[in-house]
Amino acid sequence: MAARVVTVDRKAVEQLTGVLGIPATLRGLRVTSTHFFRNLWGWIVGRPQVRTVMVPEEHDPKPAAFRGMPVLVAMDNGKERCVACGLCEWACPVDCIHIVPAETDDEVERYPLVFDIDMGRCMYCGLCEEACPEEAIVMSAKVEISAFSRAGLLWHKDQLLTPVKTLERRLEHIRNDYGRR
Amino acid sequence: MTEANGSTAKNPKVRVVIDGREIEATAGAPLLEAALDNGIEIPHYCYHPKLSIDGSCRMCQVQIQGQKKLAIACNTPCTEGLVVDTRSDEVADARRGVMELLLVNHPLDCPICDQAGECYLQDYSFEHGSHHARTTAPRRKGLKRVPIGPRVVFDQERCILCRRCVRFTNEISETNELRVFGIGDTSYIGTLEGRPLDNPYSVNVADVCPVGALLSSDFHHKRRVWFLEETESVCPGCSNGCNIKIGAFREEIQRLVPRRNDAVNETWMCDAGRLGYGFVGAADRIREARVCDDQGQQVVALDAAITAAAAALRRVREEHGAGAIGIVASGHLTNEEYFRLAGLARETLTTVSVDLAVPLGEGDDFLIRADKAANARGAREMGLVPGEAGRDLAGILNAVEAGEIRLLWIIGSKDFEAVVGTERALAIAGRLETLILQDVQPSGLSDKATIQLPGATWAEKAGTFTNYVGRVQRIRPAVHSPEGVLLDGEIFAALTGALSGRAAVPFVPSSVFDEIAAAVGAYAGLAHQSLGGAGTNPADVTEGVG
Amino acid sequence: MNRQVIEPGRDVLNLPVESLELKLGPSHPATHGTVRILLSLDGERIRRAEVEVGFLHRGFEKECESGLYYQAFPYTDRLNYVSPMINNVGYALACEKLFAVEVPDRCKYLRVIASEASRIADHLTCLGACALELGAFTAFLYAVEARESAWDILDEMCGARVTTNYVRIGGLAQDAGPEFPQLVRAKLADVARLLKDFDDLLLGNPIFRERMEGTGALPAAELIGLGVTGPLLRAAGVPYDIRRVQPYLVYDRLDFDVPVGTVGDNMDRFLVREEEMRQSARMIGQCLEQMSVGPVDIDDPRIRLPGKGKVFQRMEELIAQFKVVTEGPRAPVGEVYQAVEGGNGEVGFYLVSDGTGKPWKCRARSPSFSNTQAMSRMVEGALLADVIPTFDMVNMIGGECDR
Repeated sequence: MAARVVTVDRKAVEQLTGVLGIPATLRGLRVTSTHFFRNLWGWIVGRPQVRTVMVPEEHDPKPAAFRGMPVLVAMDNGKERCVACGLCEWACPVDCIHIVPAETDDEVERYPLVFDIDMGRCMYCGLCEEACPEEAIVMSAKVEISAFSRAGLLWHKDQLLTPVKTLERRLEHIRNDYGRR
Repeated sequence: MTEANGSTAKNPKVRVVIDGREIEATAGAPLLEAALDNGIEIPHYCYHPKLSIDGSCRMCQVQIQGQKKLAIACNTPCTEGLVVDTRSDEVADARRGVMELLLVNHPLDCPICDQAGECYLQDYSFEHGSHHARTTAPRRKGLKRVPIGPRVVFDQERCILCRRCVRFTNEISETNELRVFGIGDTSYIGTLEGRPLDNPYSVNVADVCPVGALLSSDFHHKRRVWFLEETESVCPGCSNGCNIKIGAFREEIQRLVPRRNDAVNETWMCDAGRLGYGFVGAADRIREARVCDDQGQQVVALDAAITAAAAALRRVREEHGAGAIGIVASGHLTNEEYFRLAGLARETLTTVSVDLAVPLGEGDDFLIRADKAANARGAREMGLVPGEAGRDLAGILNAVEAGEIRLLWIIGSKDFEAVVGTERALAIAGRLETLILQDVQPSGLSDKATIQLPGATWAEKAGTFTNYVGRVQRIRPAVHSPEGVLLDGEIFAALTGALSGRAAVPFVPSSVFDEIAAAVGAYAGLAHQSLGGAGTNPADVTEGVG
Repeated sequence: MNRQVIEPGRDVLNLPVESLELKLGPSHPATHGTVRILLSLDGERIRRAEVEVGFLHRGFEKECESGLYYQAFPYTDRLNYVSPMINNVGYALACEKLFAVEVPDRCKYLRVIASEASRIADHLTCLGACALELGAFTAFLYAVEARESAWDILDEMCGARVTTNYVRIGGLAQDAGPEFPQLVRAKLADVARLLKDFDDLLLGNPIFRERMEGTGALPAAELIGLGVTGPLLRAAGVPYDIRRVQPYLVYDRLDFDVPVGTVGDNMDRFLVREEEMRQSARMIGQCLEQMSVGPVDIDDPRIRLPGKGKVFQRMEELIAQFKVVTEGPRAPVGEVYQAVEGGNGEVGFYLVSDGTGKPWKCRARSPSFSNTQAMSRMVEGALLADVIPTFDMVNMIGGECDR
């Protein structure tokens, strides 16, 4: 069905203004006063209407889909799950990941000797997480990563390793095919 | 007698129609070969242009008009009037079927397998396979990471039993290390006890292996191939001039692989050449210029060292004559660089004590030449020879020992030391007034140099090499020389300028090659542009075949 | 740059008069976005205005050429960064036209919800900033709080509020869960409530009306000649809305109104945008009702990644993951153009493919660029103070204008 075309109502605006603009002014004052007294009353009786979140000590809960900074999943034995396949390095649109693969003597024969992410370049797009075939790199909920120097923004493998227990929510989300199941 | 279409009695041509396109093929040649040579893609695993026909993978099945069942293109000889369809539904079905069977037992190794990015299984599955697995049943277990030879790693689970590797060790290296054990479903590739895959061409099996079952240990887990910048060049390991591709990532060479050239190396290269790139990025590579003063060798800027070298050459020539200067070069410079060096020696310095020092090693009757210089023949043809009444290497050494030659300029002292012998070389160095070394790798003479100039490697140069039969082939730069290091040709240009008092003529390899084409008879009519990927044998040019 | 030298004139007392050359921007608290407006003033009156753009040029089109098709999505976010989903959708639709694939219905509905939620955020930003720059700080804060609710919808869908990266070729990055409709309705209720407060504070206010009415108008014919689209054109009375004239996704199944103005001045533009927000909320409600459970992506591993569950366990899908990530979906050779209705007008993507995984050319048709060039005509002969509401209503988004 084709959409209807309607003309905006300028007359209604005139009516809002009223005589000498006084009704409009009063209406505006009513809005702010309502908010003011409601908030004041709420504060007095201990049921505040205005929320203040004391960041960084407090955080609003974020949805499971939230994309914070990418981190490496550390399995229970402390080792990374990453096998340095290089897909995340390739998928990253801004080339912020640098991996040097190496061989292990374990059952899984490949691991990243070097895994650097330049957080100054990372744009939290999540393409690395999407590309990963191993659930090894995931977008955590962490966004506070300031540093005192550019070099401080280059995160190495030891800084990126995050225990799998703290990432369960995100991993669950990925295993459900990002909300499809 | 040659027919108009090139057909001869020995090499009769026939017309074959593939997917509606008429192509010309040699009678009796495999249909698959004719298709591939004409740019028609037919997927295949066991077929290889330089190995015998196997017919085991069944991937190249095509529909031949007049035949009810599909035929494998690799074992169908071309005959006149053959009509082939590679795009029918039945062919697509067959390919899907073969792919599914190959993948049913294939391990999910892609994330850890080096072949990803150049894997026939990945490529054909994506192009011709079904994209939807019908089973997640566990795959058969096999041996992983078997060091099947000193330079090759084997993974039994990934092998698809195309047997290219077995045929390689039978037919090409003729060393027969690899064979198929077991039969039917239980077949596997392996070696006999105590006979590892160890021959001078062993890593070629990693090239022929279409999957990640056989891999080069040197490249194992090094770098994903999607990241590599590949440059066409020629191997500098000996005078055979095998065509290669240099794979580099962020200014570091990661691997060398052979490039097909049916006239030189077919599709192969030897292990020594393949692994001979480490010196380019070695930690002990000469990257700085040094000049000796009272306290010994000091690091100086390259300009200062070149100025010092020019000053030394001029002083010795003025005080003692051109006969007091000797030049010995290794065989690893390009034709363009030798041309400039020969000009510098002959015209600017007017010295006739000029020669090459080329070490000889083991050779065989396949690809390995005893002459280990990449470009010794080219050097000679560019004029790097002792002049009339000149001294050759032996003469130069004697002249130094006799005190007649006071300044020796050695380009590539490691080869010099190998040819002359360390003891005599050190004695020579001690006898000289001035020793100028132009090197990439350090040698026993390095700390005896009066002036040390850092040189560049073949991987950093554009130019040409001439192999032992006279084939002129282009090399291209894959990486940049280290900061502050000039190419050898640029050093020659700077020295020529300093010695002649004129502004240095910039060293531009393609222009220098044009001069060579004009000056050297065997190179007449050639130019960088015309050399193409496969190089040119000047003999072909003089016969009128471009 | 044609900068005419203004001949010094003479005033009534025969004293020499020169125009004042004033540079408004690129850093100016009242112009949200990096743009410079060169004004040639005669007292308070503008003789000539020249708009200089390009301060935020970041090479979007060049960047697209050096990456694979799917790598461009984060960059499209940063075009019109106040309504990022619309850019995602536009680029994805252009790619899907090139690849000749059509997404399932659920995907279409979710894309419409995403687009309309983005549009609400865009218009709230525009109207709120307009209020701010005219001095109504409180109204701005209410608009921003409403925008938070709109962003919460986007956050729930894709995990980010501004740099959404939500749409993919052949599908979406994520699906919406069963609690999604309830959350959306709650957030839309919040927006409606705050919008009411916003209106009450601002709309009837005589100062506001004085600044907005009668300022910045241009006749519709001239706007069309300049290539202006979107709320600016509709405010002048031309009912050109791509969702109406060339419906894409599921807009042909939705019942909505396209508001137009009469005069085309800033007040008309303001009202058009307000009404559009209400219509967007209506459309979202209809989508939530019409949407059914089903797949969100096409089932073609050559174009769309197969999904993590399969990649971990199945060989063919693992191979497809590798091939698609490293070589990208391969487009057939050809060129396509696809336009969508963005917050500011027609957002178009013109893709030229050479058969590889990287676009040979990706041209982004930016509505802000055409709209901003109309700006100089709109303020000619107006007062200096009129530049602010006009510029606010033009809503030049630097990222979109300069790409």
